[in-house]
Amino acid sequence: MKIMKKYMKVCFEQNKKAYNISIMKKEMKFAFVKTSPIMVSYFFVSCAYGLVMAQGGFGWVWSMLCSMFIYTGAFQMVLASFFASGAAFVTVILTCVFMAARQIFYGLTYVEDFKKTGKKLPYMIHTLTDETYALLNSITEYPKDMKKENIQFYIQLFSQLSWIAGSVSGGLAGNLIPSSVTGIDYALTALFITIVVDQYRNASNHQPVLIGGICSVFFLITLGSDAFLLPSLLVTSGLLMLFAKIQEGNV
Amino acid sequence: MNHTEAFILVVICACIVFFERSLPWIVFGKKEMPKIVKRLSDLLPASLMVILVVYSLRSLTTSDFHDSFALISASIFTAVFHYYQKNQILSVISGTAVYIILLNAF
Repeated sequence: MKIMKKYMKVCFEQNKKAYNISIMKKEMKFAFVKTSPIMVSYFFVSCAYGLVMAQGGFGWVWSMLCSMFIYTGAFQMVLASFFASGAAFVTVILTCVFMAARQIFYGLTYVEDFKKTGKKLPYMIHTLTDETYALLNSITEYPKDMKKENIQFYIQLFSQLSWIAGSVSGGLAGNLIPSSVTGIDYALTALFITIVVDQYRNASNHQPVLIGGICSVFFLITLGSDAFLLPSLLVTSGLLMLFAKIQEGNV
Repeated sequence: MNHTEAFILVVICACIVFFERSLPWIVFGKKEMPKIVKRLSDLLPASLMVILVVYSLRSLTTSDFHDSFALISASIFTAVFHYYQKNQILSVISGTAVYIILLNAF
């Protein structure tokens, strides 16, 4: 606990020393505006998560701890169902390894950016999720007088805070929803669908979407729902690099 | 599953997730990232989200008609609804509501 508090203090001290409070406030405001859709979605989805956990017999403290230290929407939801059904250790761990494997790819885009946050790097790494990844990707322009890496830090921070808040709320409210009501966890799927629709609408090059979609559906059909994720990720990455090389060769 | 086992799992999973998230920095942190990997990292976001949606819908291959119907209908609804009205929160809430209703009411 003490170590955590000290680390948090270091993160904020670093900010204050570098430059003045008014810029920090501006950065926080910019980040807050950008993050607000995610904050609301996250609150709602993590509420759903908290409820599912509570339905399985794991209250708000559990949801809070998982949201603080594991912090992945999709896998937390899966873990909740594992807790409820009493899955085997090996199953849980293997699922974790494979589901979180996609996080490996997210970091690639932000290796340089996050390094600029200095001592906050571990926190930035820890809080890179599907949605924060999508959000960070969608911000193409940062105001000139603010530091990009600080804005990114606040985005990460606000996102996680709303996720934790939602999980706790859902956990607390868990007694109010009968456990026969299923399907609350669909909220996360709905969130992903909206992100893809937005991305598709805004992108000029639809190739990555098509490649990803065709690969994953193909492997889902051929390998089954348990085994298709990692091959899809690897083959998609390979094809993307291949197409990129071909197109570069033509230019 | 009792609470002790669950706690151990939480700790293990937290470490696994953090490790996997850190891998790009472990591998490319000190060295220069090859240009082709950089290109990949720019293209990946879009593909990844689609793969993630397929992943969320993966139960379609194994579940029965009733569940699949609820899932597909709710997803098509969410996608179309979001395409036209653009408010993410509204789409997520309505899509989830449609799914819960279709799943539980019929």
